[in-house]
Amino acid sequence: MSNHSALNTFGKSGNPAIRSSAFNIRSNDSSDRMTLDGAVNKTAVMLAVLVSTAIFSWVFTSNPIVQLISFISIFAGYVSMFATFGFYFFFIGWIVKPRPYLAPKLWLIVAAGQGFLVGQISLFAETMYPGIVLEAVSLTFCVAASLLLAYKSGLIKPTQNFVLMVFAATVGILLFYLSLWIFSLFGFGLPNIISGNSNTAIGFSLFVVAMAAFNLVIDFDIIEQSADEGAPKYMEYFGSMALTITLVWLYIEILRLLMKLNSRR
Amino acid sequence: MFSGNPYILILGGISILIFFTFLRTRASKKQMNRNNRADYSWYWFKSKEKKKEENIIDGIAEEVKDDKNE
Repeated sequence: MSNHSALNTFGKSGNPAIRSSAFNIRSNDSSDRMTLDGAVNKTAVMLAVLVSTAIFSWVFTSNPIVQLISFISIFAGYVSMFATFGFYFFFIGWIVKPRPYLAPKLWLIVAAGQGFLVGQISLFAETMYPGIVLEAVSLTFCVAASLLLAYKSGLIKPTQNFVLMVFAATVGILLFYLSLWIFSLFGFGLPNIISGNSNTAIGFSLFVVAMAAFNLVIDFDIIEQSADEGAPKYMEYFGSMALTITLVWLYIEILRLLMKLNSRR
Repeated sequence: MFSGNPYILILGGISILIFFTFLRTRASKKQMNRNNRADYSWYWFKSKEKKKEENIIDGIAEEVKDDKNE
């Protein structure tokens, strides 16, 4: 009989210290509770780190040591993201379960990794179409601000069905991108829907931009609800991580859409 | 190096200000007091349960016999 099954059979410890209210879900100490301001401040710090590393990556892109640091940071950033947010697969369920309590340890690694990624992609896009990066940044914040106002005013209401629909679409897009990446390792080129500028390709980009934007609404809702219900402090880091990652995703998709539109001229 | 449509850039600057200002404000009552809100509390419920499990003292439980005559 294993230790856990023995405990289940014979009952858990009667020690009052272990059964005390110290393990209540709602944190009693206000300094341990999540606040809206805390989440916003952490988002600002994450974006500042992200922009700094993006500029660093942009300026020193030809340096092989910086390229190596970029590669390691991007890899570490993605590992940290999957460790915190988990990985879900249809019909199987959670392959990696979400661990939001890891967010305070990993948030800066994620920010730096995303910064290096954004720096490299932005430099590539700016070289092809000068002026596209600032337009994409502006449009990203236009979309984010519009959705934030729509969310705060109650115009958009993220219900359970809304969350499930957006979650399913997001996982679908993620798996599609993952399969493209695996195919590219075997020498297959990108399909026209990704690299082309046809109406279908632009329509696909618009769909992905819309999904990224809907994910922003869910992030706002997670932050709002966590702060409202006095969630533990680590949810501040988790919420800011989610918001920053979604903003980066939205930015990259808007950049891709603008590149497709520019290539038509 | 940087260029772009100035109207879009001005709009972007205003949007950043709006974004960080309104991110700090509470959502309207219409948004907060609904019955069909999505529930995200499992994020911190599950994590807390894990921490709780870690605090259980593992060991083989032994039955305590009160009857001293046995």
